[in-house]
Amino acid sequence: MASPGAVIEVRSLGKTFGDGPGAVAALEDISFTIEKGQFVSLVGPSGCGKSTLLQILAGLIAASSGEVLIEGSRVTAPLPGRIAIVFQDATLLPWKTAFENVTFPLEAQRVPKPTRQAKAQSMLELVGLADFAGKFPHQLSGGMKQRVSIARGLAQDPTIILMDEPFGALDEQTRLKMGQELLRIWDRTRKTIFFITHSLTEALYLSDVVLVMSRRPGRIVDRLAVELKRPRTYDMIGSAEFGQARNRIWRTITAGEDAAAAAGMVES
Amino acid sequence: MTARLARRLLVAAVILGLWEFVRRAGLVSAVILASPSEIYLAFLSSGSEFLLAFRVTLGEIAVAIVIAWTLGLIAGLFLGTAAYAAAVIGPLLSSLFAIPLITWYPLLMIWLGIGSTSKIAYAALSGFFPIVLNTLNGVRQLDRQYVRFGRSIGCSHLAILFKIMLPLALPSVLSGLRIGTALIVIGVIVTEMLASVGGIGFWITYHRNLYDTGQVYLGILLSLICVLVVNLTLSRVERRFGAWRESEALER
Repeated sequence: MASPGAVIEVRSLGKTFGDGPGAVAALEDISFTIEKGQFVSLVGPSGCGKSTLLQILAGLIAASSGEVLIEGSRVTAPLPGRIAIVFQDATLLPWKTAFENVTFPLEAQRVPKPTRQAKAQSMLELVGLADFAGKFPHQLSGGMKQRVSIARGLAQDPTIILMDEPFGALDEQTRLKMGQELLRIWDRTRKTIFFITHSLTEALYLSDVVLVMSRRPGRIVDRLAVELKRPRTYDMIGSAEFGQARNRIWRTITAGEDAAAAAGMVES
Repeated sequence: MTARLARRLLVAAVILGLWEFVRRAGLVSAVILASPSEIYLAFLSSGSEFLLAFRVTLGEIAVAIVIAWTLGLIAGLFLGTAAYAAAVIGPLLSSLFAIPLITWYPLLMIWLGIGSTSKIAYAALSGFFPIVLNTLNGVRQLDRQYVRFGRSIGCSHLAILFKIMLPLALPSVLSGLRIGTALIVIGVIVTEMLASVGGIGFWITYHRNLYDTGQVYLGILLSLICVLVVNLTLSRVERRFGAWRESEALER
């Protein structure tokens, strides 16, 4: 049944919150697949259910209909060690050092101490924070915290990393740098990444595939394979190719919004 | 450091001197005020009995603290994470906390007797409420992303509560513990004063009835020491677990 090579397979997924007349449809008939090692972004207007979708993929909440297959088997609960999440806020534990924050999930997964220390060390090196291992989160900048959070995800050696607007709270400059950092890390580790963002530029700059979601109830309204060569550079952001792709996504999103607005006017 | 200590000692000496002078000069009657030297004499005459009472009171406080902290923290954590339970029980707890708990004491005495048990029960009950309410509120205000993080890395429900939520909610939890513990000390001494057979509160009432003002002041002094002991322990706990919060505040 499962397509070969697909690490994540989503089949006509739907999610409704509540029941009866007060029910709210958050997601509707969502289907897509993500291949092993792919970097896939999901963009869409705020409140369209992107985070809900991510939580269903992670096994944190149950879908109302349809199913999610991770490496061919159906997701019913979180898969620690196989799926790691990087949240919008770094969600570091403030009383632990950067190093201890990275080893914390491994402790929960009963990884032996020497292994978890070696892993934490090498992952902090990978994200360029080896010198900050002993620092507490409040001694780190926003970008550094998020890098610790990425190291924490990677240390669990998952197949998939789900990222929920991880750079959303950072300033523009840091955000671009973090994007490039992430690409470098991804290139070294070749994890499958599912990346949620508001920024069309960020999505195109980072991804192999961009999924575009509509307003609530969220549906996948476009799937765009990004043809830009790798390694990606900042200059590509100014290219005609990049601009065209960006415009296409923009039109898809705004077309949905205009239609929704028009429908709203008819109703009222 | 030493200069500050010296200044403090000087201030204390001046206050004690004034206090002694006011009594010696006969400005205030012996029934109303006992001088430091009279308190010292009272200590010499019945010090051993008072120390025994001190032990009884401190013991009751210790047991009440263990009960109130344990039950308060656990109940607060569970109510804080179970939205439905909190919605039902939260307002009930707040309104129970709002009524003067001392009105329950006669009942507790009928149920548990005049001895230490009823004091411990009353004190633990009065300390329980602020602890549970502060823990509950502290936990509810936490970012839900932390719960998702905990679940995604495979933490059990209990591990999420005790290894993630409780430490995160610590500032609020600690203020609950501080208020609760103060209420426990008050609760023990007040109920001892109402009706009992031992403890500092009992001795204060007993000697007040005899107009032994020196002994009464000694009792007050001892209850002050109780509060000091408890506060010292509490700030130890705070320093141990709350260091990162302080440094966080300093660097902002």
